[in-house]
Amino acid sequence: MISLLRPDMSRSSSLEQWLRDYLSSDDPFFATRGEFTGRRPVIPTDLYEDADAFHALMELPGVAKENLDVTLENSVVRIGGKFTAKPGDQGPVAEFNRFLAVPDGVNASAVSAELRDGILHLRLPKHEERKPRTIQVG
Amino acid sequence: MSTPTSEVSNGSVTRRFRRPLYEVDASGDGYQISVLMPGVTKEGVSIALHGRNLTIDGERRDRPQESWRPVLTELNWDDYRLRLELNVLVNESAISAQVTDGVLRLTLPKAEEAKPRRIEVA
Repeated sequence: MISLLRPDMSRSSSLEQWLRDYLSSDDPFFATRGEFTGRRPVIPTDLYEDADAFHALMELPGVAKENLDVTLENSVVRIGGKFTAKPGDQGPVAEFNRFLAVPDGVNASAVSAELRDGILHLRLPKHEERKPRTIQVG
Repeated sequence: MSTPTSEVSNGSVTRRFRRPLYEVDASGDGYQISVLMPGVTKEGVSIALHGRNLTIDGERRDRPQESWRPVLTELNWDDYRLRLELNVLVNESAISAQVTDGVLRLTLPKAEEAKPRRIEVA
């Protein structure tokens, strides 16, 4: 089970203030299998499972594909990039990283990612033999 | 990335909205407002200006599929609504808006009479 900390957004709706808070906390964030350090605002994420795959959805508004890196190494997916308050790197720029442990039974070579309208959809397909299947009774 | 906000009830239908994060840049000529609404495309945005009240609605296009079993949920999938009160007259016909990567950038030029002007000293 992954344990996370939500940023406290209630004080201000200002993006610039949110970015300053994000930048001012200096503990690194690393969450995998229930382990995390630090109290840094993180990229809100949903995780889902269906019969064929796991799905991770992340909100990355204003992040263009060229500012996003998704890498998979040793069963950990790293989603990294930068947020900018204003286009063209004026104003505060915050780099983010989020790590997700790839569950057992996932076909790592078939992991795919799509970024659309500020939402990243990571699809982690299950190995064929891990999919639920009906067994015929003879 | 938003703060909770109102439930709007219209008889039997209640819609919930989240207040999105936004940023306002003011200059002598007008305002630039950036509103973070991930999941919203330009078709989902509606902007209304009534006097000084600006209302921006962002309707999300996609939601997680019903067949998906949630393992971890941190996101809120409600539509967005931002209400701002402008303290300056704007040139309504010159308002422009664009949506890229879930961010709405709105440009509101000040009305001519509201722009700062030099006063010549005779």
